[in-house]
Amino acid sequence: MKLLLSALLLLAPVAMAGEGVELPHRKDWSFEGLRAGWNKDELYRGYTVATQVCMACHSFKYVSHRDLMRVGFTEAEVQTLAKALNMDINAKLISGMDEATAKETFGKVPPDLSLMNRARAGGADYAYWLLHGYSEDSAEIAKYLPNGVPPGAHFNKYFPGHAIAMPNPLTGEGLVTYHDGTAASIDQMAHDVTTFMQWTAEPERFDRQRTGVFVLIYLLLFTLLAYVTKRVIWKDVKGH
Amino acid sequence: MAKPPVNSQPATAVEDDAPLGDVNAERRALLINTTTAFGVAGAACVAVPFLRTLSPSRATEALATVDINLAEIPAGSVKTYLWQGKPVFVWHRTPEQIAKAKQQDTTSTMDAEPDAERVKKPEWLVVLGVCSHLGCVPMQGGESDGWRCPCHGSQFDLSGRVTHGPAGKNLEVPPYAFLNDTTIRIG
Amino acid sequence: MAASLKPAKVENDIRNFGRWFEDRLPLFSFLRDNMGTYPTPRNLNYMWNFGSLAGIALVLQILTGLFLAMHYKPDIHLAFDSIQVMMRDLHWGWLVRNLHMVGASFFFIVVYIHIGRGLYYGSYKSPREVLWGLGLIIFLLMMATAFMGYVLPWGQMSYWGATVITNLLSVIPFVGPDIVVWLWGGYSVGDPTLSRFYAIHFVLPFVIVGVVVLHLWALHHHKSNNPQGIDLTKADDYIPFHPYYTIKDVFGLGVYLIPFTFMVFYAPDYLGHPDNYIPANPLVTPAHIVPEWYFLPFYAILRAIPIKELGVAAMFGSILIMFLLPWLDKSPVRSARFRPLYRPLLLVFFANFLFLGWLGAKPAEAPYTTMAALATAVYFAFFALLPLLAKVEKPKPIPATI
Repeated sequence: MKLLLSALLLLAPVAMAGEGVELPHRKDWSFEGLRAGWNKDELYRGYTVATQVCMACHSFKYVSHRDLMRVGFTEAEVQTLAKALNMDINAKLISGMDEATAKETFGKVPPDLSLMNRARAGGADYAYWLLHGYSEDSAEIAKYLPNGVPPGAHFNKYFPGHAIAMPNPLTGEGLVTYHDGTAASIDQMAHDVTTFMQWTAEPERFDRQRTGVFVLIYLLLFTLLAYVTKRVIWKDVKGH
Repeated sequence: MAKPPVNSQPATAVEDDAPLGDVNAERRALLINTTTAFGVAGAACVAVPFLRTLSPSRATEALATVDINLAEIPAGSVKTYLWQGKPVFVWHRTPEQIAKAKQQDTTSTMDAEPDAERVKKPEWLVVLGVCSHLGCVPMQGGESDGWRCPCHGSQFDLSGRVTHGPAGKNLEVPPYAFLNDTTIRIG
Repeated sequence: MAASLKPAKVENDIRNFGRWFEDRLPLFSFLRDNMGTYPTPRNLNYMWNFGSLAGIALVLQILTGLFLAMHYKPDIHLAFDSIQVMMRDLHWGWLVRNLHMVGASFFFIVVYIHIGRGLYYGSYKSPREVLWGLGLIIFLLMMATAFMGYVLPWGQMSYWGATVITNLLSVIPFVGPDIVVWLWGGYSVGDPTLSRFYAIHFVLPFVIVGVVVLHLWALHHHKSNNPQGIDLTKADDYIPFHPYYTIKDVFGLGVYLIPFTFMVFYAPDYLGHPDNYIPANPLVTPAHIVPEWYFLPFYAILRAIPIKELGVAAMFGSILIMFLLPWLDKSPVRSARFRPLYRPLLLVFFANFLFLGWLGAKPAEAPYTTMAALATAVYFAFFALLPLLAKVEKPKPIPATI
């Protein structure tokens, strides 16, 4: 029976592993493993990249500044951040670029980023490596795209098909200035913005995990109790 | 499922199960009660998050305040705003109206409350536009120069106090604060 | 007055009211006869837990579904967003949604094991053919409900799953294409489709409850089968359902809830597909579309035959043939324990079913298509062999009692 169960469960990842590209390796994320919650500094830095770089074209339409108050930002901090962008704290993070312009510029409307990390096989790793996947090296490009990069597209090693409409967003070091003085290297920005996107994709993550601890402890105790009770009740049944 | 389950084989010889002493019966009952109580408590806890989904969402809670620019209300007139899905009347009262409202302190005695306690600044009366009878929206006018309710004829004065039933309570003053001289925040 | 409130008096009043009520509606004796003293074979193993677990899984789906329905918006412009509102803005909305989403998968796990138990111990045989058939009807209704439920989030997999599955009906001779258009309420899956799927998704579970009542009625009429598969004759072969099986089912429930809630809290997306977090787009089909895991074996059968009509027929046939099982299997012996040929054959059938599931997730290309054709042949061969099997099989000695 256990074999059957696990076999059934194993079918799912098989189903997911379909297409896509090999990512170099799994990153160690601050939200994975046994953690108490989101790392506020990473989120703050990720927010900086998201609002100053990504939001030039992309929206986070399910997220508002107020939501940051649920991960340790104070109301004053949030008000300041929103004001700097000339936004109400309840307003969703919508890009200033309208869809028509975006379509004209990139050939397609840039997708909303709120759920991106949940909507791609590979999740956070995919987003992170995608930001590292750009290259101008013609030898490398030829390896992946023997017919050259299609017009209007950009080479990206980790994008399925390797030709992506989005130009490299992290164009150089120091593109943003972090609140805590961290040096804004490409890797740092990719890391921070990916963490931020993980939060926008599943803000409930730690609510879930915290609740789960209590529920599982309860269920283990309950099941144990039920088992002992079952044994006691069944004691007088012939054959048991 | 592959192999025949082990559990149905007579696993242990339970010879000593014949005379269950009183102590055993007691312990058995205690165990059953504990398990039942533990299970029922767990089920009750599950009900809480389910019912909680029905309360106002975070988005609704976030919009629980509304800021009003008083500059847009000329002296003597009333404007209606929506706050938490309910109308709020903001009346920019003239000095005469203020004086009249003060006079009405002595006549509007159904739910006695001095005008001075119902306003933060005398020229601004802020009340919920919800009749204290059954929730209709009162209209301006009526015999007490404030509002009258179209549903059942209750009358309210220049301070939103009830002067004629069936309503028995004054129009409610919502929580509000002056952010500056020309802006109030309701909620 | 005070004297009349003595505990003994109150107790007496309650008893009298109970008698009065019972005389008018014999509810208490019904519950007692069917849940309390209901005679149950004393040798049932843990495989028999999955029946009650399926019932609990159904109730849980209805309950979580009810709360989701209060926030879901069956409109193609609002559906996707309304689920994000549940996940983000609603207090505990994520919990109810995850319970419903993971709950669907676990419901199928339970039901597959439940069906497998019926196959292994011959629970489909006389006098339980109708019980078996009703169970299969429940299974079909579950599949329809789950399919429509998966459409509701209106993600890419929802949309393209709905498109592909509804298009299956286009193979019906002459009227097929018209039926599909009628089903959609348009010329493609769209807003009318979503609204009607929502309505049907909401109501079907109650139809399932109705068939479950019949299923239980049929069960209680002839009582449960048992691992030995023999008819029970002695009074002490039976034990009352309560407390023996109530506590056993409660324990089983605890065991079930542990992996279930683990998935809900720590891996809610594990059984899902990332593409369903992309809003539906009628202009772009995802590179690999796969149905939910519980449909994969049947999906593999569908794709195994390169002729569309035959593929669809094979897929529906693979479930419908189960209805004939009580008559295909002519052996008088129920339990596979005593059937030296049926048992290995059935285990091959189970393994082959899992293999089909694995194939269903693979792209439709060599060598998987050949494998799928073979596995489909094995699937049907099982049923074809059953009538012959009874003739050649020499059952092991069957005990007279449990």
